[in-house]
Amino acid sequence: MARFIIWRIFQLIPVILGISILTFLMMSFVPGDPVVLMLGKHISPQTLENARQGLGLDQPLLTRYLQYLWNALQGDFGRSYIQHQEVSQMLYDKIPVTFCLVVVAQTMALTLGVLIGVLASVKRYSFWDRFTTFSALIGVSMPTFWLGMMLQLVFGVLLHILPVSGTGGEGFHLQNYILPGFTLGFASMAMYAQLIRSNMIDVLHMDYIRTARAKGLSSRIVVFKHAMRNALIPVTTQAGVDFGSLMGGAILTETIFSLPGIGTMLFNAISRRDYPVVQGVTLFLALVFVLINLLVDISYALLDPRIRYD
Amino acid sequence: MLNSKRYPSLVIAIIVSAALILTGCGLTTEPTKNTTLSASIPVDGGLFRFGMISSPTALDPAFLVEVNGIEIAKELYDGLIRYDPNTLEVKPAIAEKWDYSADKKVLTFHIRKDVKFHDGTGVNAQDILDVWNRLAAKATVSPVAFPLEPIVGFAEVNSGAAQTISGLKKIDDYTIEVTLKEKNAAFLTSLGHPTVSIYKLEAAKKAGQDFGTPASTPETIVGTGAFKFVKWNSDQDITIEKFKDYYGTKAHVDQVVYRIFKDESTALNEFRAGTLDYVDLLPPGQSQAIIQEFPDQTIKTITFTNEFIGFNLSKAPFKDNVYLRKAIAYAIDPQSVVDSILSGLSTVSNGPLPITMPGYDKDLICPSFDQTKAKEYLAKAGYPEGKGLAPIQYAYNFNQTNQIIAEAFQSQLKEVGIPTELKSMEWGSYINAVQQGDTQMFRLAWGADYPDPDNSLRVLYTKSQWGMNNNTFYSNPQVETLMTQGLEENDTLKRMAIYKTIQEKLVEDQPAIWTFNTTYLRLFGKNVHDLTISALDQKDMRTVWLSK
Repeated sequence: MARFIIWRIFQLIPVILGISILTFLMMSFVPGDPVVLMLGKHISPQTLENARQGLGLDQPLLTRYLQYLWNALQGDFGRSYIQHQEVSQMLYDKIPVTFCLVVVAQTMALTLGVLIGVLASVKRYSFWDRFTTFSALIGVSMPTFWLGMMLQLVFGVLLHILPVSGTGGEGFHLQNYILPGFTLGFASMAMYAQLIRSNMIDVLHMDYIRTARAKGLSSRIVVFKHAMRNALIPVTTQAGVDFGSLMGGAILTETIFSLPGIGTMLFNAISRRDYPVVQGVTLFLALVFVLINLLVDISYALLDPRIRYD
Repeated sequence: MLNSKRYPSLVIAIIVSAALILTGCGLTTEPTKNTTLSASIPVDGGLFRFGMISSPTALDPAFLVEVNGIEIAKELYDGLIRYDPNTLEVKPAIAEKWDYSADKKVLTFHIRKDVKFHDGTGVNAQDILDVWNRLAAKATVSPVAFPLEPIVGFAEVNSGAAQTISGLKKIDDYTIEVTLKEKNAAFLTSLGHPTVSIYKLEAAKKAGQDFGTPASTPETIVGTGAFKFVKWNSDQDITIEKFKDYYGTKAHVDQVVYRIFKDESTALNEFRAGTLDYVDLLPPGQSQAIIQEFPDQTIKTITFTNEFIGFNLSKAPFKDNVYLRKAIAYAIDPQSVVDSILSGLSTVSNGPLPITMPGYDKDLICPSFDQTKAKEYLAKAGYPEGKGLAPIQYAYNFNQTNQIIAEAFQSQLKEVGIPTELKSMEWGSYINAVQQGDTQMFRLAWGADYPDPDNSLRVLYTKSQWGMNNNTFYSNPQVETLMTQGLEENDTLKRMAIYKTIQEKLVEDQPAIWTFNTTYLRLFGKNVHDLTISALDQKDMRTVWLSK
């Protein structure tokens, strides 16, 4: 297992390097001059020249990339063209917000999704089963924007029991992440419930479950210890992939709930051709994806004793 | 907890909001309040919670390129002059008075002796020179040094050939002399832009490149305004507090916190929850419902921003074909768009100047919706009933409102036989295409930086700005001469007569169709008084006060 983990971490180097080259090239060839976007409406030949020189954009592409790489290796990801802040500082400020949001969303989605899914599979064709199918349909079809707004109006404006938006200041304030977490996790919750349900139905008909029941084990132990553990494997894969996607893709939820996360940071940076920010966020997200995949692979071994990486 | 008295209205708000979010429709029109002016005596104290949509990009005066940065910076830093918040007339600020030389090329500013930086130290002439030299310097890479451009020696500093602007001279500790390259009647007014306002350079240098970013501290942002900087939580909020040693009329509120939102609907919900005193932008398409939900709590502001449809005059079909341009000007009906799409919340433009701008000619006759005339001009253009006219590309930067408006214009043009194809692009690609002349007909807007007609006309309609701000590639030597005359004429009446002629010439040549004056609806709490919003779209935090 240790060798496997070291090998996977070693694989990070070419992946990150490749992504940095691709992002750099893509941003350079996308139409739209970052200097024009930075300067706004006050452009003159002299301000354009000053800005190009100041940002080093008058240098050849290769020189710029190598300079970027050299600086990045020393922990310097440059400064935002638009916000003028150090990219590393921006990431430092915004990663915890998105991380907290995604953790809360995934925790809610997994907890509720697994519970509903197990209940639906055990009580097949009952109210709970139909509820699961119905909520999956609603969850997938409900626009995030609308759900977020409705939650704000009910819990923030009408009942005054949760904040409408924001992070609540320094530190982690769980109450500020409940509504956005639910909004973000709602679709996943419905999907996990459906996934668990179908897997559990398959597993519950397997021989080893029948054997377990025949041994006289209680239904609770059979369902939660023997059946659910196997049914969780595909959900784990899905949850891992989702976690990575949500880290960079929670743009709508971050927007609705005014959460200063990296999703909106990346979106704004792309639309304003803020190269250093796009590079910094993309590299970070690539790192997250690779690490999450590694964690998912490790979790397989923990969930399924038959899987070993040695 | 649940407030029974508010319950019915909130339930209605939820139902209405749910419906509006889903349908995007408005309700019936109700009048809105135009001012928060109060007859009561102002009360000092309190925290004003300002709901701001989107974060400022910088609080460094050298990088004030967008409205939210300007909004906060103008409270932190004072300039030599300021604008009256109601009339936008030039008023003394750090400079208590000024004199022109006989040839109007030298301006002498007399600095007040009681102006203090936020750290308690005094402001003198050298501080002003230092800050302006930094703004002009090549190394600063400021995109907004434009107010200093008319000064002798600016170009040398901006290109890196000199360190200090030769046209700036310190006469004594409280007098500075500014020598202009040419007579420039707009120069003094342009000095009200916060980019040329005064801060303590020594403190800013301590922050280095972090000056004016969220990493700023009260020790690095040391301004001269009625409020001093407290903190900036990136993308969350910015707090400023009353400066007790301010030389001018002191603010009433103790603190202002600008809470930053990414979406207007969220800010509106925070206002409904009672956590904001003011919302700067409201969700598009919901203005009428909001006016009904909050009667007498909204303000309508017509700004200095003029939206227009530009014609690319560098190539067919608009090059050398003023009749086709006129045909389109007569074929579209902006008023119907205001009524049906913009919920009545916009103002139809009448010519190249915003209707609130000094020099605006209210008697100017622009082509207005008339399908018969549109068809006449189309025939004169060589395309009777549109025959032989290939579809004209109408480009715009994508957002929902621009999309719906473009579709409405397309349909109106089709009615007279003008075929169009719509092309929407995201902003970066779009502005690139427009500046390169890769579009035929395009949508843009220009927001003036200061209250002077020169700032709305010269940049958009002179040859020196081709491919930068003049993207119609319009040029008329007669208009260029008039622009120069307008800038050099110091007699206001004569000057405005020149701009009247320029407006007439532009309407005659029709390089663009001026469609809407951007108009905003703002929401304020019942306890908010004397909040003034100028046509520059600036809210004066010095005048506002909160009743208990």
